Amino acid sequence: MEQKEVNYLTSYKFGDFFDKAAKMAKHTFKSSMLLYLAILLPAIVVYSASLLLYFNSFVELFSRLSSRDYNSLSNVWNILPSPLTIILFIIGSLIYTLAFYFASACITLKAYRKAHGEESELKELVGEVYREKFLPILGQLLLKGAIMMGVILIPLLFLIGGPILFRNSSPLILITVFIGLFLLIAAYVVVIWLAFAFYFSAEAIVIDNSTVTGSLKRSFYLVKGNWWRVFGILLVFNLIISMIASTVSGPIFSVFMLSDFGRYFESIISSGNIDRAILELYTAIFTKMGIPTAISVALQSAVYIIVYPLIQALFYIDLKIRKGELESKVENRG
Amino acid sequence: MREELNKRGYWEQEDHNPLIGGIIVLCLVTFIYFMSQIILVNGLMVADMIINTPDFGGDGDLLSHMAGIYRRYKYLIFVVLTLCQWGIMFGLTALFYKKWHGGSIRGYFYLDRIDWLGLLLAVLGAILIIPGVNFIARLSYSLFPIFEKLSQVSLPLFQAGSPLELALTIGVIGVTPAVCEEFLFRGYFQRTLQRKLAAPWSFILTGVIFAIMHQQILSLPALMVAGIFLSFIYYRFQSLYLSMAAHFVYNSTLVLFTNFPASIKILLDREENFSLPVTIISSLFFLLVVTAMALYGKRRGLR
Repeated sequence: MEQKEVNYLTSYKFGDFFDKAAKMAKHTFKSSMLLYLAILLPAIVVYSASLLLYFNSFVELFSRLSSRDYNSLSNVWNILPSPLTIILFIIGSLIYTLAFYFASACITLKAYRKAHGEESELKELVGEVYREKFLPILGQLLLKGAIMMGVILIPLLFLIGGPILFRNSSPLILITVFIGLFLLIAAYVVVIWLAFAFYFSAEAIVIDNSTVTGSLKRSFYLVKGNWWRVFGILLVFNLIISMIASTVSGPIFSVFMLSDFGRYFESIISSGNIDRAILELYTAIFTKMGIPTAISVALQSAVYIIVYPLIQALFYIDLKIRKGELESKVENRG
Repeated sequence: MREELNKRGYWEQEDHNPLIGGIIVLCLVTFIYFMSQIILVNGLMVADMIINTPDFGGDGDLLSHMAGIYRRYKYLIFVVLTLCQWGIMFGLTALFYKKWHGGSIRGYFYLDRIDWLGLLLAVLGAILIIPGVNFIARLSYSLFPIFEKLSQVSLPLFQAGSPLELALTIGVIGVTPAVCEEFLFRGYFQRTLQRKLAAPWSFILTGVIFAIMHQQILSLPALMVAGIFLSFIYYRFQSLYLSMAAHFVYNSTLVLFTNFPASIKILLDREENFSLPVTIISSLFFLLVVTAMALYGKRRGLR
């Protein structure tokens, strides 16, 4: 039976995103898996190693608490992980994030071009993203992060600054804290709104070669008038993907942690000493959590890299069509 | 004659894969269901604890204390469970089906026929599977005995002090999940999955997903066996009434065993589990029932 060509250049209904992403996945699956193995998996290994170190740094704290070595806890570096561990964890997380963005950008570009009937070799895509798009993608990530943090900073200034500045006046402290709390709630609303307004800034760079600041403006323009639609569809999409991913990662965590939780309950039931049981449980969690977390991240990343860039590409096409920038091919629906 | 699908909904249009719609509905309905239960039960429990500061008893014993919590909030749990199952699992599934697939629910979900011999086999199978499932669960829990003790704290939910309370317990634990969970997992999801995936994978996968959704890691193997059996009934006889009946009989039998343990004392060993001879014999008869289902269905030309 002759396969009917899929029309990707149309405005999308809710179901179209998922249906057409599934069809597009047949064309991008191999590339997604190659990028996963070549780029994402090594990044996950680095991230996992940094995570293991980070978790293990807390084990020392819990063993001091278990042995009631409270005097040593007056030294802050006996409570916090060492600076080296923190730096390594940040580096590991960054490497993973950058690897994911890189791989995602390659697949988004492949999917967008496929939607227009163009085939692209993975090697070409990787080269193009690396040479022309990766630095701007990092730039927009930093710019977005700075804007969000700036919004959150304003209420924090009231919440932290107020009690410091007006330490001699309780009514003024109360007023600044009240204003700060109100602004904090407002700030979270603004951050969520901005997060979705700027959601397609990476795609603007990958697909339309926007600049760093231009990508934010472009995303804002495309999402304007479609914010609730973007929010709703992406919420459902992320919900479904995370449910699928968690059905795999849930049992993994259980297998690793079940015996420790069992000992925890046994300890409480037999001795009634909750404090000691909690300490032992936390020690076990921080000793063992690294490996199941790493496996979970590896599996979830595999799911995300297959589907996430496709939804991004198709959504971008849909928004461009709705803004009249792309001509929609009318589907002949029987 | 089965009613032809009226292809009006999005997922019934040409070139659209209804299985994707099935996965979306399953994920959405189960997410909303679990979140609603968690928010309602925990929210109301916390409110009660703050307002009334109840004493759950137990005298410092954690297990008795936890059992006291289940005793106090039994009816809250019953009400929330019933509302969420009917409203979300049943109601929302029906709504999504009508909106996204269109057509007759009776026809699509196989609510338009009952095979009486099949019903008898399904009910028999549901009773005979219990000792085997119990044995598998025991194997899992034997690795972590503390969790078997912890699982016993929810026993007050199954225990009834009067005939009325027993009827209510059977209504909530027997009838409600039998109708609502079957409606979603078999009636909608398995029916949709069967359109794209051949047997036995369609009913095996449905049974596994059904077990995973119960979110009890140690009971997972046992729930898989029960889930695959219910899915097999639906697949073989193409009647949701049969899998509903089997599910009802299974759950209700467990409630009755909990409330009338003396009636089955002869079947139990010293640890109050089904004895090994009983488990082996019932499992053999169960396999006979399943074989009869397979052969009977085949002979009648059913898929």
